[in-house]
Amino acid sequence: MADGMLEFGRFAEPSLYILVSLSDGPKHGYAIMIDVEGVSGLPLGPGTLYGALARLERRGLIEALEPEDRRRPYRLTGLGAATLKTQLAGLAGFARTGLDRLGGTTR
Amino acid sequence: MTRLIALYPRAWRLRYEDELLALLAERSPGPLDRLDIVRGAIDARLHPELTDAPQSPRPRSRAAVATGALVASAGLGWLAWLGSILMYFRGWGSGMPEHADLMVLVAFLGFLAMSAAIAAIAATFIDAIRPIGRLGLMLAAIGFVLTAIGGGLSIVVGFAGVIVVAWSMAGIIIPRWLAAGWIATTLLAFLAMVMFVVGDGRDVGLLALGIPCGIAWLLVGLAIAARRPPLTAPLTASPA
Repeated sequence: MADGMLEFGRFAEPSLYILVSLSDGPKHGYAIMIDVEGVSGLPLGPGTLYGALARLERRGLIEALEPEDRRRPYRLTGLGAATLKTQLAGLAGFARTGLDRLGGTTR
Repeated sequence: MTRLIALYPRAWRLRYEDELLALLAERSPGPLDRLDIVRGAIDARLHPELTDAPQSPRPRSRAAVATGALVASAGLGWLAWLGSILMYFRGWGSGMPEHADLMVLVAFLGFLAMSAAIAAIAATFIDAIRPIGRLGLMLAAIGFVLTAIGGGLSIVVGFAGVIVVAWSMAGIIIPRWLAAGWIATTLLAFLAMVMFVVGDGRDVGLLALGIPCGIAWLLVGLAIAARRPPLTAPLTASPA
């Protein structure tokens, strides 16, 4: 699935943030934007948000729910949750390796 | 902002425009956001496959069609009322107008139709329009009911309500240009009535300035009836 996320191009990183944001429950666009900015510290523009949402939805990683007024919440699918877990495990392994090597050079 | 969103392909707008507009209503976009929207539009045009999943044409909502028909009929009612005045009324002090009973009946039905149209807008779109629109709907409904039962000056309240309703629906239920036209023609009709009253009711022809207002109601009704609801089901997604 890592390859799949790489196919997202410049949307890969925002897509990962969105999956993390949806991992604790459904959210609509604005709530995702605020949450991602809070978690990552990086602003998420509206064009990037919807470019990423369209890709995630197309790949079946998230699904849209019934709209509330004009706001449409999205939620993680089973496939999305599994993909996120794989991605985060990969990143955790990567971080561990980096920290181990850094620890080795600074001893 | 709608001009920037118009850069997106039609299929994309059908799917995401409503929610993007809702998002932008909650967070005013800065220059970087606007740039990001343009980039997003370019991306959407380069990747039409993102929104090319099979979509059945969205059916028009029955409630919207019924509401549109009521609003259009209110426009016809208004035009019939004005028409009866222009045909039979000769101004204040000219005695009982010809076909006075018919004029009263047309006025009653016309303003009742306007009240019904406002009630239908409330029932169909109360959750979609801007919050201030609720006040406008209430004012308009009360104003037109009172006008229908003979309270001539109540029309001012009805007009004020319509202006607020039009503003609250602009860019959400009806196009902004149409809402602006609805407001402008309402003000014109109000101005015509003020000039008529100030002129001691001599120049009945002034009331013809109210005709565009009836046409605006007709067009608003058609726009509402033709409106397709936002998608209520997700697009078919192809699993990775």
